[in-house]
Amino acid sequence: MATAILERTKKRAQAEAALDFEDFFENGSVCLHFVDADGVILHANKAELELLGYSPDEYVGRHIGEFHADEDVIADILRRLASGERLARYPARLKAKDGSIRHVQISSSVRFCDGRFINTRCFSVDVTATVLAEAARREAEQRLAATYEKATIGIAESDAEGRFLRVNPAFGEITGYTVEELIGTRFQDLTHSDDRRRDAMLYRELVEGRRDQYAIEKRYLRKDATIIHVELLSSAVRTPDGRFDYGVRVVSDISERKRVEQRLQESERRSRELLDALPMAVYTTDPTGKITYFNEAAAELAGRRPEIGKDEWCVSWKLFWPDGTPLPHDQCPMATAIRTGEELRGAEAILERPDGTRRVFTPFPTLLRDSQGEVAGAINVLVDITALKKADDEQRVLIDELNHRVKNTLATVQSISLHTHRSSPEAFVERFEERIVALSKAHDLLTRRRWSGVGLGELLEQEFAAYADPVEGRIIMSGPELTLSARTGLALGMAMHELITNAAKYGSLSAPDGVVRLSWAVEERAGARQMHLNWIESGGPPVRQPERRGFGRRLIERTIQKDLRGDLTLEFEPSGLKARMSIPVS
Amino acid sequence: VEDEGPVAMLIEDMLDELGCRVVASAASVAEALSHVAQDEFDVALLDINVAGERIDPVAAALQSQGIPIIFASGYGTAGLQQDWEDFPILQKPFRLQQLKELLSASQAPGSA
Repeated sequence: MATAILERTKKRAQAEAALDFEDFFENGSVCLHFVDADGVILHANKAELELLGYSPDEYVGRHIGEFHADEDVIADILRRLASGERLARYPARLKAKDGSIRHVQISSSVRFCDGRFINTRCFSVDVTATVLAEAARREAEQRLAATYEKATIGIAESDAEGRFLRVNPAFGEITGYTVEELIGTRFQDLTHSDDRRRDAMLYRELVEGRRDQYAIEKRYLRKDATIIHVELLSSAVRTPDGRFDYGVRVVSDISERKRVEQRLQESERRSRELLDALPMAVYTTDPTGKITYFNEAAAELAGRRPEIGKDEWCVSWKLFWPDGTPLPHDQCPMATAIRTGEELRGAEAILERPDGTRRVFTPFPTLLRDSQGEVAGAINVLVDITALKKADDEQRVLIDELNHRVKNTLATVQSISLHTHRSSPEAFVERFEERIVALSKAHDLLTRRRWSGVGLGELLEQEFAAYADPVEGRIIMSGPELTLSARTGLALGMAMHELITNAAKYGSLSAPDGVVRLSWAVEERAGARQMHLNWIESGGPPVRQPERRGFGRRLIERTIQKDLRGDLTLEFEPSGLKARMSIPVS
Repeated sequence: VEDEGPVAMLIEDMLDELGCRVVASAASVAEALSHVAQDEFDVALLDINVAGERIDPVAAALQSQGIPIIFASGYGTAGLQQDWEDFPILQKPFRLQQLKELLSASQAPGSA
């Protein structure tokens, strides 16, 4: 009886244990299946069916090999198991229903009963996520390594003292050393002496945690002793507790950029030198009209040095239109060009210097555009036309003066004509011609000296030349050489003409042996100069006091006394005419 | 007032012919000014540029006395200051008839 109860209790416990096992088999999270000696699946639990996505009908009863991705793997597994081997975490790949591959680790052994193969029990753990993650990690690592090796910029890792721990080939190419030579070398030893201190100081701050990174331009001394310009970006990698682990130095070769920059600077310097040397006022402004540059000629023309970046539109102090009205700087041709794009040509303006002097100029404002065609500023050339304008004005004065002279001369001719006609109607043409020719010759003399004056000697010789042939050696002149003003010369010339004509017609020169003695001297009195001139005839026919005052006499009296404000005495002595005159000269 | 002898003689003769009496004939500004101060006359004939000097002081003195002025010049109106623009001007050389007309216009008693 007790035994029966015990037996019953034992059976019940066995039945409960079988139920527990079945629950574990079905609902456990580990995948489990049984296969028979031929490899046919006898049973699979829910976890395994869920992992692969099959229903029990699609899975149970089929050969396990159908679900393996690698034939050789399942063959190996079955062979090992058949020979009694136990498998622990054997890696395999299973085919899920949706076509995806699941990575698993299989632990399995065969249940033998009395040496007979009953079945295999296979526990599979899904490791797909782990396998994929590992593969991705490996690929990333390889990629990084490739980048490091193939990069065209130099990358180096360095310790706290700056010794290279690792460098890539590009870093070697930049510095001209091999990777092997570089390892263990300090970056300070490769750096140009002028840049060494700065780089070392910044690196020290990086190591000590006072900065996270820095970027500088520096020079390396290459192995072949040449200098290379680089841009360096240096940063630090720190341990989780914040201590400096190693430095990362990224270096790019900027020699070409430096060369371009230098060429640009050189070309700019040359342009500037050229503009500075140009003997023409040149200045530039930015697009807002602020002066950015001016040359020496511009400062000279303006009479001042404009303030760069402050003065606007024009280098000048004050501006005026040609008519003298004020011209505000922001309305000058340069301002117009910048604001409207209209590059005015041929305009004129007047600038006033701080010292009050004025210059007339013509501006040539021209817009400067950048490579995109946008207005980047403007350049103005100021051509000083003051001298030209002055010459213009002088020419106008000269033309006015010439016009005046011509009109006065015509009035003189009119007078000579009228009076000649009155006094000698019978010999009008002859006397008129003589007088006009004499006047014309006096003009010739004056023109030769540009109306600045005339020598007394040459004036007298000219007047007497018409009578040279018949009276050779009969006019005896004595006196110092003397320059008379144009006006005095012209007036005295006319008076002399009347005297010689009279002498030739009626006086001493009308007789074969008559002579004229002409002498002059200059006397200085109280700063004023007076010329005394005596005309003395002798050897001619007896002279009588004339009954009337002819034109000739009137003209002599008029020009000497009135026009030249001189003194004149005419003595009609029987031996000959004596004319004494005294004229102020300059 | 005329600084060139032959021209002065011509004008004097023309005035004589027109029945005028030449009270004074001057060849410089200073001389002219002294005549304006001392002499009495009905009309003045003035060259504009006299021996390098401008006639303006003489014209101003005459104007203040209300004496009619006729300008005679080779410059024409161009050489004249704005103050004298409204006065009659003879362009040298001129004819007797032109002088006569201007004298009549100036209502100088001698020209009547």
